[in-house]
Amino acid sequence: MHSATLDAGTGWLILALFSALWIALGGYLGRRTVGLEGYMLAGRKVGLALGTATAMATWVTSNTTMAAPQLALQMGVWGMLGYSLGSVGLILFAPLAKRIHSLMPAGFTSGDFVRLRYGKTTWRVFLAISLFYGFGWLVSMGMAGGVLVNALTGIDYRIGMSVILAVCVLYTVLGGLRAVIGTDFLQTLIILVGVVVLAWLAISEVGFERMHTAALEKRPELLNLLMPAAIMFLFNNLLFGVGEIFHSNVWWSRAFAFREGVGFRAYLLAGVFWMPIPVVAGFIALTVPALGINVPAADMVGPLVAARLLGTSGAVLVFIVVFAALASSLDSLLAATADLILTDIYKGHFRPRSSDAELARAARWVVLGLGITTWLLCLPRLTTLAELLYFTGAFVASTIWPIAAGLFWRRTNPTGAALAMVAGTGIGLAGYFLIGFYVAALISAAVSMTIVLLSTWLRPADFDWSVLNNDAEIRA
Amino acid sequence: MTISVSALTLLVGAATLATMLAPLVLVILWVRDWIRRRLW
Repeated sequence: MHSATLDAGTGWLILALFSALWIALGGYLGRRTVGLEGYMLAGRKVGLALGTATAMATWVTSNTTMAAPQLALQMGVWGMLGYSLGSVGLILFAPLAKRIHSLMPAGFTSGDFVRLRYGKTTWRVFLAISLFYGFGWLVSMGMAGGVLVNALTGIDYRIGMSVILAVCVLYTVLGGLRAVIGTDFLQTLIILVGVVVLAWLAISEVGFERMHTAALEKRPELLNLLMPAAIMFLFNNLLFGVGEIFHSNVWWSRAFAFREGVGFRAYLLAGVFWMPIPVVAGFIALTVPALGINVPAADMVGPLVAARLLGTSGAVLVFIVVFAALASSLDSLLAATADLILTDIYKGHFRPRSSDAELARAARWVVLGLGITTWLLCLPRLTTLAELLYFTGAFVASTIWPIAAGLFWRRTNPTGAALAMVAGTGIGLAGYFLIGFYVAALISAAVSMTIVLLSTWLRPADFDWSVLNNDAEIRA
Repeated sequence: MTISVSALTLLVGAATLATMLAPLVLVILWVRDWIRRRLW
């Protein structure tokens, strides 16, 4: 029987080859980066192909490729279907991306919108939520890098985590968003081809009939369509995903960076193409009963099935796919969080008169500083930090209504928006601790919605949309 | 209530086919954008 773990030598070889590829590609693409808009927003002319691929690649994290089979093994068919509902966030963001681009063609960050739309108090509440989430995701991705490299190759956690983080920081520093989007395209192709090869092998070697019969005999719950925990997971995951995408600068910066008319189609296509990935990556777990694989840890089910079907090549394939998935999310997070720190914290709070040239220079230092901070937070391997992401469900879901209502309704009340985020987060967190993680996003979104609707109904505002298109206001 | 073999086949088969088509569509879009000089 083949092991799911590669020897460290092969692991190092793959790490070295792909690290060199991403750094060389990032550096090559970044050579034409000019000025602040070139660095932060790739020149604001990203086309449909690169736009669609970057939205897909960023949303395919190592979680998608590793946790989808894990969820299928734990929650059966609904586990992978629930995960695939993460695509709803991308699809719903399509009209928002179009609206963002038309309202703020010269915008830089999601923080710009909240500051101009709702004022400074709401902006600061939003920044606290957004940065907390950004750091949470960044640290959990950094840690996932170290943990996965260790699990798949035996390379020490600290070394693996440091290499992956250093590679992503280096090419993001070199080329900014242009490097991120360019590498995302290739990473998307690698991920898609990798998961399809594995699925194809599972189908041809095991077959649906044998898979179904063995699962029905040994693990019938995997085929159960009425598993309550799985159905609750499905709704929570949907709202969590919508909250993550609606507020995060990762998605806003792309809406600003895409060429006129591209945002809507890119997000829609990305959502449609993303939807089947968790099913394709996840269903291989259903072959476990038929193949008689002993799974000591549920999160290793993907590599175990791959190694059984493909031998050492399977372990190599999984490692390459996981590295591509990690890099495509880490680089996007680094760039988008650094943009938020640069524009909304550094310029917005400390250096309001800084020029574009100064900001362009500072941008590289901010990415580097963010990378080093993330590395320091990842070093101790505090597993509790990985759980930050569950925790952030209450935070991000509270932003759904203030963002969506603020983009489409002139009358949305600014104070109500701030209150909705604070109360939604607070009451959502209470639900997290008193009931369970699966209700946090749901409660938070419901509370936030009620406050936004009530405050707007009782004290409607009268916002002037032209403020968002005023270059002087954006750069204020 | 259990998912049937045919429903499972349809679900996974359709998802695999869609995922197989995605890279092809992306490459076609890339070539189209490249020809029109609209990649970046």
